[in-house]
Amino acid sequence: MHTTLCGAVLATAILCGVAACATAQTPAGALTFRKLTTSVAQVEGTQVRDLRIQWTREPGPAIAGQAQAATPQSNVFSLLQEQTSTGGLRRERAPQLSTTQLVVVVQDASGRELDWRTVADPSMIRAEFPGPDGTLSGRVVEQRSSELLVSIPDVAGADRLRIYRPVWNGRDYDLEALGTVPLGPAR
Amino acid sequence: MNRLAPLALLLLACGTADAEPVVSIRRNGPDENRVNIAILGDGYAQGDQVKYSSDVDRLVQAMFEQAPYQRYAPYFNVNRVDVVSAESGASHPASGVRRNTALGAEFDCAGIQRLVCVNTGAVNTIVSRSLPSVARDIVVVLVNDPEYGGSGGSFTVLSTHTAAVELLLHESGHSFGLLGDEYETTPPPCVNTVEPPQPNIAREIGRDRLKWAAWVDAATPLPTSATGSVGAYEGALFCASGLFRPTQNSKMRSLGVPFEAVNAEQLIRRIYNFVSPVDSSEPAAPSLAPARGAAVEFSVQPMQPASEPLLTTWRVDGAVTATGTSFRLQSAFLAAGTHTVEVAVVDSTSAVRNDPGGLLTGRRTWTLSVQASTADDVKRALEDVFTRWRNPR
Repeated sequence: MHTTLCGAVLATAILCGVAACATAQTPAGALTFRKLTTSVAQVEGTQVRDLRIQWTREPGPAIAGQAQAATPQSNVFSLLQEQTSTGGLRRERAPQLSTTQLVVVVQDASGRELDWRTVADPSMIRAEFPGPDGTLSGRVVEQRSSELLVSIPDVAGADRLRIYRPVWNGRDYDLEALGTVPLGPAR
Repeated sequence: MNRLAPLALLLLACGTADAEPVVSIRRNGPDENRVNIAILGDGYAQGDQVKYSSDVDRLVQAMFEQAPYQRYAPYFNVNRVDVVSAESGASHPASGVRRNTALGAEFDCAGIQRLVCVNTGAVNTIVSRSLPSVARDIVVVLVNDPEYGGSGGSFTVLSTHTAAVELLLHESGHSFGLLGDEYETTPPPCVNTVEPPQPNIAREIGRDRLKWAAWVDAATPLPTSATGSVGAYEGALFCASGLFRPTQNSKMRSLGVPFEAVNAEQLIRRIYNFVSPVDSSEPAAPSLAPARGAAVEFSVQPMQPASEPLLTTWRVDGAVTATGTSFRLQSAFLAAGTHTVEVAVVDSTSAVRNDPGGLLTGRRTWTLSVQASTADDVKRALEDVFTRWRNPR
């Protein structure tokens, strides 16, 4: 049975509208997917928090001599809705990542990682269609505004979500931080 | 503009809404040990719901007719979410056609005529209130419009055109299988300076370094130009050169053709990423302390693909002791002390040659604390063994 928690969500949404709810893009440091998955175990819980998160990408300040598209973007994440439900989360026996996904890390107030999940990158829409001989061609349409649906365990101490984009380095995925979403207390 | 309007909208959005009806199309086991597909309809008005049901059935049947999904169909559950739209069909803005639908499906997305986009917020809202998170591995939006079209991404959108199932299979090759495109045209941009992560795209094609070397015969030249065998064909992932694909053609390059060996192998590994070969096992407790001389019954329910059953092997202290789905252990035959019983369930399909993560094997282990048995205990155990041997159940 789902329980929607609109009060907290509404408060968060208002705060997001007033203050910077998400951090700007920051360097990933040394965090890689392999390091994350070997050092942080996924939590097995019986309560799930489903979070609908708005993701807006905005062009960075213009840089002389560079096209606007080439300037760094800022990413704004805001929590639209949260609901809790009873049940488990998907367990993967050998997690794999791709550049069509995002990595969502649950952190406590001190920044310690408590859990992580992968989620499809909702900003990318693939347009692929066959030509006369059946061979495909395609484009990836990147949306400035999109919405993530993230399911995390209702783990004590969860303070925020850190959202990363995987960047393939030839051997592993570097995790590039996109932003942060503050969470309410676990319920 | 009224500054309270957004708040009012948000409050309205927070109003409690009933979950959409969910109909199980294929139920093969617990969600936790199955790949779960959720199908939502858009542009199906109240009067279209019977058509929606048959459209979904046709789509699901077409999907599971193809390898490798055919053999692994019992590893999937499929749920149909009955979403009712105010109007039938989809919008075609370039033609001035507007339809009021629940998920806002429209062609001509981003100026591409066959690209169909939907309102992701509406999809997420319905999915999250209708299905538990574990039941949303693959989300498909079926749009009630016969014109060919669709899109891939966090969920696959497709029209009811009969060929659109091919789009679903190709897009699930990306989103579920994490496979790369095997075609050469740009855009997207060609990046051929590093070894790509996709299991079906390679930059290194030396026999000792090629990702799918296990599929390449010694006589097949690398790079490969002759068709018909697995090799290394130049041109993949939007690059005309510098990157290679395993076969001349495949469903990750063209629609209407098979996935082919290397892609099918990856899809099978991905299925086993979500599904353990051991569906259930007994006893539930991992540690057992049987009474002196007692027999202990073990059982396992392996996953059951549509063909070629999985192999089940029982080991006691590492020694193979039995095969089959149940095993009766006579503790009287064991020395006093701690022993282990392990069951291994293996999918020995020839469709997978690389399984570095051991995904095609599922194991369950029990620890037994066995008491010293008497000669009478051993005698009773032997009688039990002979009785069962003469009268197998």
